Amino acid sequence: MSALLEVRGLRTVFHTRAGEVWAVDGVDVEVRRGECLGIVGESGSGKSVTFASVMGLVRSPGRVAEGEILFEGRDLRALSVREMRAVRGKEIAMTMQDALTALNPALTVGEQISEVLEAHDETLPARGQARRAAIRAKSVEMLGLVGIPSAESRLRQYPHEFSGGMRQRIMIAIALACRPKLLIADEPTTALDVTIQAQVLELITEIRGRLGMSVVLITHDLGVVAEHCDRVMVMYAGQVVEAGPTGEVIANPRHPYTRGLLASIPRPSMRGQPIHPIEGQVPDLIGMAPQCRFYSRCPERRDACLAPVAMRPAGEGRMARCILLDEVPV
Amino acid sequence: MSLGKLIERLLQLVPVLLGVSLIVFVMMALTPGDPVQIMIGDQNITPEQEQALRHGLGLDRPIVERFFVFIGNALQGDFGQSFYHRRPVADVIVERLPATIELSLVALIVALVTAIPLGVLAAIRKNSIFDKLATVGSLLGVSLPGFWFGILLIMLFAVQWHILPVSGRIGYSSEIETITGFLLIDTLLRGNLPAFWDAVKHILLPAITLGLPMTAILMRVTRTSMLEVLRQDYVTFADAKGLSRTRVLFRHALKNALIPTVSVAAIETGSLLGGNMIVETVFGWPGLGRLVVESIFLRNYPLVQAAVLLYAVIYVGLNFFADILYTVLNPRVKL
Repeated sequence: MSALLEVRGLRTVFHTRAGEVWAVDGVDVEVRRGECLGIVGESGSGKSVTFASVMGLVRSPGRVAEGEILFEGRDLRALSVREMRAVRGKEIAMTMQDALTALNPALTVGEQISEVLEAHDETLPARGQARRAAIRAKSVEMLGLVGIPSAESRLRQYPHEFSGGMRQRIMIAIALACRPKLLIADEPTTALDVTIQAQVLELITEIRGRLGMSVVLITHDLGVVAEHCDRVMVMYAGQVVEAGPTGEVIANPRHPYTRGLLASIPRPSMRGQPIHPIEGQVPDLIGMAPQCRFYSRCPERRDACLAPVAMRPAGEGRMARCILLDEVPV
Repeated sequence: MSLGKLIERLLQLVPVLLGVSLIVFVMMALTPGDPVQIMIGDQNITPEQEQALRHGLGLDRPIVERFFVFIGNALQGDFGQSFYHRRPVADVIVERLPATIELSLVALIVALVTAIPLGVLAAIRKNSIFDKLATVGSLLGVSLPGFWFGILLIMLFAVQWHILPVSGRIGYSSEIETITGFLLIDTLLRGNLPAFWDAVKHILLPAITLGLPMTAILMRVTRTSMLEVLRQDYVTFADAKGLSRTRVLFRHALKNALIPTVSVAAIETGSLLGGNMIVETVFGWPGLGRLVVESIFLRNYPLVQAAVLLYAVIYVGLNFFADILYTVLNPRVKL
């Protein structure tokens, strides 16, 4: 499988009053064709900012400072605003955490779907009645695809007239309207209750298979990753700390942070026993020394960790950012 | 909007109008000066004649009685005779009303078409030189008193540069027979373009003066709500869809940002009523505002009372209209 998206050495900075915050600091990502890549990390780990950078949606006071973002070999950072607009929504689409806030309350669902088609779909008739009819038919088709019954009549409704799960489906329908090659799903289930979560994830996985697209699933739920992702990337404080095939990373985590994350998941078999949170807090990124960022919370820290730590191979198709890998033979 | 809500709103008018009548009645009664004395002026008349005049106007009766007579008549649609015009108050007011409505509408339009683009621009270019100038400008706009600003405009545009007329609604040479009472419309209906142009030139300065504070307020409201809306997820999502900048700004952002602007505009239109009295006086505009000011000086009680009642009805009506507009613009709200 060749890479659809390749991000190298991405650095995104936010200029704040207190100083510069490198929210994304030297991140490499590879998304292969047709795969689902899970991005795991706590709030503030830089996972959403990484993909906002890919989409060119980082707003002031933020700025993508360095790095290459290659999509099908084209550097997205070198594109003009206009060219980038043609990529967004057409080649790379995104869904956001909460559909209630991501859908425009003052526009009908029909308008919000049809405007993406209007902007990008070149297969539509050029103008007039035929174009409108085609857009309408496609909108209905998309709503049908995500499982919204009697789609035809619901196009005229506003987002608040739908349930939470329905809204999430509508947002997915909008994102998929132009058959993008890559879908970035930013916490698609966080705002939903558990039964709906499963439905929405099933839907994404099913459509991914049907349309043959790649999916980046941003989440802080390792359970979701285990079930739906081929590979996983763990982020901490603006850096990738571990990456590899999902099964192997979960079975045999190579970074202390990943181990900590896995240990903190409550399991039915551990009923009655205390859960083990990772001690301490995410460090303040302002004025961070060039050391291992997990140092302050790591149960296995040593003096050598105070030097910069690079990603290193950690087995077949795996990488991790920990000096312990040099000590323990793989 | 259900019928029940509508009736409820109309019933709310009753105490408001009663209260307003009472307040105006008391205030007029407490104001020093006697309408009969003002009417007599320097003329020599006998005490009997004066008494007859007083009796004819109903001013010899006690104030409480006068109040109830006024309310009773008003309920039957009779607002009495104007002391000064010797004609029914309602007729006099209806005659003057179109001029005031026309001026207010033009002021409203001037305010909307300048405030909304400026507010949007200030929001998009937040903290730029333009934004800062707009902030200073709007502060001036709300602070400058209408009588001062109006006179300033007259001095510059009429006296200094001779571009626009000093006062009035239309030049004598352009006077035409009225149809609707709105000169801008009547001149067009009559196909008299020079007269229309003359009317436009006359209304420009008073409309700008009247609309200035409103422009300033609406600009601030638009800027604030636009900034708020631009931070919303749905704007980011609209960007993520690869829509054009224009579409994101105007269809997605502005449609939501305008909800507060339009509501405030509807309510603020009520405050134009107060501004009218000053602006019409400064510009010699033959509308209701100037009539009321004159009537206050003449202690023309019936006219002032009726006009203030009308103002109250308009004000309450505008608030009601603002609520309806809010629901129309905001699909989430159902009254």
